[in-house]
Amino acid sequence: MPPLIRLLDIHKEHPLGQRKVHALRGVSLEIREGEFVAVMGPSGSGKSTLMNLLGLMDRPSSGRYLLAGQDVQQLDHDRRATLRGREIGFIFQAFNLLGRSTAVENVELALTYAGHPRKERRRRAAEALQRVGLGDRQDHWPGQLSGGEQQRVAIARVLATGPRLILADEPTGSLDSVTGREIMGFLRDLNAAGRTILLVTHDPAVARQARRIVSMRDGQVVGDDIQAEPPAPEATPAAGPGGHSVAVPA
Amino acid sequence: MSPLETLRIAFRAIRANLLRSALTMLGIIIGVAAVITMVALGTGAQRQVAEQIRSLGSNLLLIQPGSPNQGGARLGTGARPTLTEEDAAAIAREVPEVVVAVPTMSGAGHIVQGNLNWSTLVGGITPGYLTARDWRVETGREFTLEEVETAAKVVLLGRTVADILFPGDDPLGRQVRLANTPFTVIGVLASKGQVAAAGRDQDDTVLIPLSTAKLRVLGANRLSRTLVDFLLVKVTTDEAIGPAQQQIRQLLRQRHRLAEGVEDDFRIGEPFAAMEARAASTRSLTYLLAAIASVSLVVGGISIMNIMLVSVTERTREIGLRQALGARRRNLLNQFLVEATTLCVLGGVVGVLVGIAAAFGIGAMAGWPIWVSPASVILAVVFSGAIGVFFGFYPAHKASRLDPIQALRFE
Ligand SMILES: Nc1ncnc2c1ncn2[C@@H]1O[C@H](COP(=O)(O)OP(=O)(O)OP(=O)(O)O)[C@@H](O)[C@H]1O
Ligand SMILES: [Mg+2]
Repeated sequence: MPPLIRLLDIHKEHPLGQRKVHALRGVSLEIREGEFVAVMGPSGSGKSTLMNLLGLMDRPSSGRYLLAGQDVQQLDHDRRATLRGREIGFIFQAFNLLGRSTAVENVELALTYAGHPRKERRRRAAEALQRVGLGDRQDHWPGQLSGGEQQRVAIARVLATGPRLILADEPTGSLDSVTGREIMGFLRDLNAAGRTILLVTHDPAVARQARRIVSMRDGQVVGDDIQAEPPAPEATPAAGPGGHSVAVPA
Repeated sequence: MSPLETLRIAFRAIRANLLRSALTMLGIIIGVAAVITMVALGTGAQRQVAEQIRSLGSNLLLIQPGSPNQGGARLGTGARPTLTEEDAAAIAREVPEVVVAVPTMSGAGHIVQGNLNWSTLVGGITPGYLTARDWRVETGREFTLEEVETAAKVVLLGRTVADILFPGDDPLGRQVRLANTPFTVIGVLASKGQVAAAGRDQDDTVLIPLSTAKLRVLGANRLSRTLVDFLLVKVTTDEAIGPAQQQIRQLLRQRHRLAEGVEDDFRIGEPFAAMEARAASTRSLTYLLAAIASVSLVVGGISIMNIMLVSVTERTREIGLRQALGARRRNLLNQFLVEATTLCVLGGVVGVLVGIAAAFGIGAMAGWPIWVSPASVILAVVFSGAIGVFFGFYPAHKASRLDPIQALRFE
């Protein structure tokens, strides 16, 4: 079986006025299905740029990207959109919920674009919110939820579609450490259920929970360590933030 | 994504910014309301005139004695009588466009029933008259040819006369006295209603056979037994009026033995030409005003486009997020297109209601007839929708073409 992700000598230049910012300078990387990878590196090292390419939100300037063996560069705009909706889940630092849609509607969104019937969407969305402990907040607007709760809605949005690849760019960056640990608990659960996770973080404590840490600097991968010790085994809680305990203190 | 789904999203966006949506719709509302009001007033006036013409009888020519330059003479009191029953017969026989040509006499008459009496207009006619005037006998029957030939003492009452002489009673078969002669009522005419343009109540009249009129009622001080007051000619169609007029003139000049250069001793007129002209000018004025009003619809469309462009820019991040969640170009195009179209259709519907209310308001105040045709309502709403699609397309297209990552990173 091919690796889920294979990057070959990826370059990315961002146009910036007359100049160009060389954000990625020859990144090659392989990630197998089911891995939990943390991406670390100083600000401006190209982590977000890499995540956007992996999420098919952006195209590299050069190099090849094979997703599950398929060369996704060749795909047109709409095929990439469909693939994003079905196979990739995003969790952002800024949560990115639609302010004019309720929690349950936000969770439903990707299912809507994937063409699932309304009833099934509603059921799956409600179920996902239940799993992140927001079963009673379905009809709340994002503005009525705390940051941690909003990020849990974003997690539920990923849970509902069940994508193979989850891309989390600093998902705990806007949260306090306790709430951050909650979110990490959900990500570990997702990984335990077989989802491949890429996580960008500045927090070594957060990164330590991944099996593998990829380090970046100046648009290049400068380190790729498989952690000797697997993350602390945890009981998979049925629901709710209370169920999580985090092995490594912040 | 189903159309219903897209519509739901559109309604949500419209509701989220209610004041702005309302202001955006205002252009469309005003435009549609103006068009609907104009058309309702115009069509009302048109229908009123058409109704009047229909009630007086359509495609009619009136031939009166006197020279064409004399002018001013009124029915029945015309100049030296020159027209005969034979003229009418000849016209009917020789001019193909003519449906009927009716020799007619008319004059004032006093009619008595028991102790009730009434002064009214007495028409001496032949059976073709009712056809010419598109007039029906409501109860009873028309004159028979025999009754006309034998100068029978029978009368048809106009609705008004029947009501006055036989209040709450059936006049059929009853006797009335006209010019001191007993007449039998054989029928009552259907009501033509009050026609303002015609100057008098059309139902305030009685009709008797032409022969009887000459012999007993109106003929007393007439010069000749064959002369009549005027001829009423009905032609087949509107277009036939011109040619028929020419042929009748030729025929009458010939029959009256008028030499070359001698002026006509009769006048051919279209009694309702002025009304028809008014109807036509009302019609063109209506279209003109509606066209002017619809310019404001285009202005409304431009304001929709403007707001949709602003909205697309404001919602750039939302668009980026939707793309991250799998929205295809078509989904986004539809979303914004349906939003613009929904705004316009809503505006159109509100505009129709406002327009109808305004039309009835103006109609009630000015005493004008109003007619809101279903076609104009449907057309207005469909046209608003078309404006939404037309002016919403560019912003929607723009939204669907946004680059996902640039949209998502947009500040
Ligand atoms: N859209 C863009 N236009 C121009 N330059 C860009 C754009 N996106 C990123 N860059 C530049 O590319 C480089 C890498 O940016 P990137 O966002 O990938 O860094 P990062 O590792 O995610 O940093 P941080 O940890 O601060 O989020 C930076 O120098 C940044 O300024
Ligand atoms: Mg970043």
